[in-house]
Amino acid sequence: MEKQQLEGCVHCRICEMVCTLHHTGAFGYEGSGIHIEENDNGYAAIRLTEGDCACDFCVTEEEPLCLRYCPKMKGRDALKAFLFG
Amino acid sequence: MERQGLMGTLLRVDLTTGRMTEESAEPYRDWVGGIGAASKILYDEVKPGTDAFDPENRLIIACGALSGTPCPGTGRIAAVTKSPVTGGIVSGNSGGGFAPAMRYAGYDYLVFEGAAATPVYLYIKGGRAELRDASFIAGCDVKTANDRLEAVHGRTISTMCIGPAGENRVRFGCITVDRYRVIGKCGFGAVMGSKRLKAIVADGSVGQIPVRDAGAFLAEIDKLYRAIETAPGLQNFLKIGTLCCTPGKYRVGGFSYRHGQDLNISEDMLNKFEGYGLCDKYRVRMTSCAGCMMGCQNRHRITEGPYAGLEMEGTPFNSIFNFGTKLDIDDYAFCIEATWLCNNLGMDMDSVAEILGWVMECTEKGLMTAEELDGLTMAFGRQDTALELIRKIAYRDGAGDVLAEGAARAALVFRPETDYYASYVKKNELFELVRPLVGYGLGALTSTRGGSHVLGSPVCEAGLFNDEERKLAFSKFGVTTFNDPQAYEGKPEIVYYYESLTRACSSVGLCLMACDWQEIHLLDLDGIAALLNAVDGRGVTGKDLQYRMMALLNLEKVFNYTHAGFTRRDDMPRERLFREAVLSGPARGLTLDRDKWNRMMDHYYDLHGWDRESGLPTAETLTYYGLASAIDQIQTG
Repeated sequence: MEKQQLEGCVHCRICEMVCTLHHTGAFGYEGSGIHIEENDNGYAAIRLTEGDCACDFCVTEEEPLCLRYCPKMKGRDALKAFLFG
Repeated sequence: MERQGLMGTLLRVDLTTGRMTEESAEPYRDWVGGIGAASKILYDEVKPGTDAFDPENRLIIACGALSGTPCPGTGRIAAVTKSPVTGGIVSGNSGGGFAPAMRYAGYDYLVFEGAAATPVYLYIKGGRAELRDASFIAGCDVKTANDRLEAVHGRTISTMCIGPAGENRVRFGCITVDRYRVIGKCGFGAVMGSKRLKAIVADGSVGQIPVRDAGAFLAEIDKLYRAIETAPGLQNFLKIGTLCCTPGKYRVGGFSYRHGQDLNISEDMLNKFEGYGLCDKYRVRMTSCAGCMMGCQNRHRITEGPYAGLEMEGTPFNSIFNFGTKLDIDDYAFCIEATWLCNNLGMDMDSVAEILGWVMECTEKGLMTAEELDGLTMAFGRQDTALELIRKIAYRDGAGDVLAEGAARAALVFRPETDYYASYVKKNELFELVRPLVGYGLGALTSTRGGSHVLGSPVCEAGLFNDEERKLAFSKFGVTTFNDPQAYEGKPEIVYYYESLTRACSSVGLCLMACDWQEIHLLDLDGIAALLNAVDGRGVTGKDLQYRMMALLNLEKVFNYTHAGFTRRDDMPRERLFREAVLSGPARGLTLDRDKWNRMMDHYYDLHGWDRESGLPTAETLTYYGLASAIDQIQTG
């Protein structure tokens, strides 16, 4: 598991919904390889690296769905940095 | 648990017996979902003569087909009930995370009937539902109730709670969702309190919902993302939320000042409520409803002054209007605190603010005394007694017990002259101004839930349009006065347009901020139909939605007549607006013109196929909308 605070994240949880779509073909939070956790300073992203829902960087898609649908003017830059360093 | 067809599962909860049954919601498919399906359920099951607090009343919580998907504007949870404020049918909705949580937990509709003997709450997760003892949260404010529920169930829950106000059946008691969002108006919290239902808890951490054609659905989402990212009129909203509304309202004379005694504010007050400045001073971050990319809610922290330490989400522009200009208090920290108090004790802030303003004006005019108000000196500009009165109302303490009935009913207890100064329609406190914004006012006054600007009022009258936007707006409305706030002509056409669009949004689980009500380039009925067809393949057109949403409006009109006796007179502005001219500012000198207003109303009723004299649907109109069975109940020509 990897975890990082996401500057600009608004806790829309779209990343979780589309990641679940990628893994299961349906929308939900269960089945996602990314989860957003609220803390006193805002929101942190947790990326699963093991298990059935482990993040595969959306190998079958043009780009990771979480990144594609993360709002551009909110957390997307921080999410991109989290995923790709 | 298998998802039931296209419409999902309806959980029926009999709070008297504790029995719960699952049904398919397919019988309501024609009514689309959300407030459409929920209103049909209420219409079928609650008969005239049933009091709102009677166990036979229903409280219906409803998702839509887009709930739980990542569609811009999603995240709204809707509710329908018979209102203890109006006595008619009312809908409401709020943002937050409840709709996806409820839907992932396996339920699209929750229908509560009966009343529990002792406080209970409903808990749903993974296709299972339990009614549980709520004695550990009974009497608690919303924050405490949430803290205790999270201690029991973990932080993955989403909640609908009532506060002490709902438990005390304050008529305008609200439902607070996820601590900071509200189903605010019309007394949903009071109905919940009458049923001793303290909370509804949904855990969406397990469970999913299907999508028929993911590729097509994501293609529609992509289009909407591009539209939102490039919509010129939306960019300030995306940056600071509704706090961007201040300049537009100022430009048209759209602020209530000292309870509507003027509709203009000083430049000094305007600067105190400038949106970007407020964000610099108070904002810690922006937050979003679950599934929506717009992220338009501000989270504020107050670090100095009497309210230091308060951190709270969702104080909107309306709080500036309600607790700032209306009460002549130019302190946004007070606006946050007062909004917080309303949300945490569980009361509609529009009703609370209108009552405070009314009491302050009546006190100023010598029509109410401190003695009648338990020794409280209620004065414009005064914060401490305003907050004290809010608490008294929530707990029905002393004068608060009278005011908890709402201004229309409370005026019967105070001097008769006080009634003239109260602003309400269908016994519901009226937030909306009418004189400077005729279409906005028309939509609010004719709204079946008694005021509110989300069931037909346009907000474009105060906007700025370039040539391209003018052409687009004209193609939608067929009239040219959409940007002329003081014009009477053309306003029925614009309200008619938004009556179906707003209902469609609330029937599919979408926020109005995603549709062309908020910005002219965004979703219309065709766009909503395309999203629906992609998500569940139901095969509807924009025209189908328009027909069904007008059928819904007609159903609401029938309910309101048979349950509350509402006719044309209940759509009319109060006398004050015809008599008193605006004192200063862009709307200076304006009163409502009685002849113009009545002629506009005649045209509004003609447009809808309603009788001019009664304001009620004709037999022909009811037949057209499949409501012929209601003809006998409506005395029309």
